[in-house]
Amino acid sequence: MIKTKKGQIVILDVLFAVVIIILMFFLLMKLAEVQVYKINSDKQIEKLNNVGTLAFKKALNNPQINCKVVDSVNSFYLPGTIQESAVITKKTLGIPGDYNCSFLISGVSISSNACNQVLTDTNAESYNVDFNVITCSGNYTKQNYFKYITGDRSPSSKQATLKIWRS
Amino acid sequence: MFKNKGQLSIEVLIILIFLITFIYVYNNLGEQTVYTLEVNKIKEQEQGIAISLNEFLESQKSILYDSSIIDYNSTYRLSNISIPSKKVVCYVDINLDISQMLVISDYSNINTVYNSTISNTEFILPHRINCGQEIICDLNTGKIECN
Repeated sequence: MIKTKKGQIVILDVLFAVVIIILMFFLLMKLAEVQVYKINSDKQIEKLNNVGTLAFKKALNNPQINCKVVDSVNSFYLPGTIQESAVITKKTLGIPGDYNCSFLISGVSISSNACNQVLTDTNAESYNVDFNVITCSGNYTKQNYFKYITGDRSPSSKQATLKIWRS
Repeated sequence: MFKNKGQLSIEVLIILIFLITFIYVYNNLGEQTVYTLEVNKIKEQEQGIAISLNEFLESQKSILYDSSIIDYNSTYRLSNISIPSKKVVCYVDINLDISQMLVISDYSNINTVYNSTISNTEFILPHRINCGQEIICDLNTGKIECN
């Protein structure tokens, strides 16, 4: 910064300030872009979590797949149980068409399970939950149900795995 | 800085132009930032409305498959969209043929599409539900009817 003429320092200072402000402006834009990307990404994850939580709830408590306890007069469905003859589809678990799912119960083959896709992309975001369920091949009688809840006969629980991801 | 009385130097002119540009750019940037934040906030709330309504309707499906339930009545109120600057009017457009919900706001035509598994084989729903509106669901000839 050599003082050659009156006012030259002022011009250089202003130019320097302009350059800094332009750089700051672009930095601010970049930060805003990153923030918007993060918000959109969070929204997708929130949606996936929500689809997953709903499917998990519907896997546990759903008359379409739960085991039924019957006697001569009454009947009710047992939450946390799954009929081996149940028809499991995305619709049964409330999973929209733009998501894929995999539902497996260790040691049990469900007769009709359309929730059997394979997640190939290991980096893809997915909702995963492992939980215990009791399976049945037919309806429970009230006597059997009482034996189960009083501990006379304990049905062994099996591990179910539910995985959901965006297709 | 001034050679003669009343004469503005080129430096002062540059500073003035710079200041005007600076104020203009930052004012625009500020407005754009507020707009982006509001759009994101509205989109977020629209998604929340779709998720919440879908969850309510999904949980009603159990009624259809449990023959022990003979009478049923359920109520749900859609939430509103609010941002600090104004109240945003919105509604949910439900298309049961393609199992899709569309949440639409009267703010810059922002909308959110939500795919669901709600279909016309299980539900009779109004085509349009306004935000803040309450719907009452009943069993009607093997379907859940909400009005």
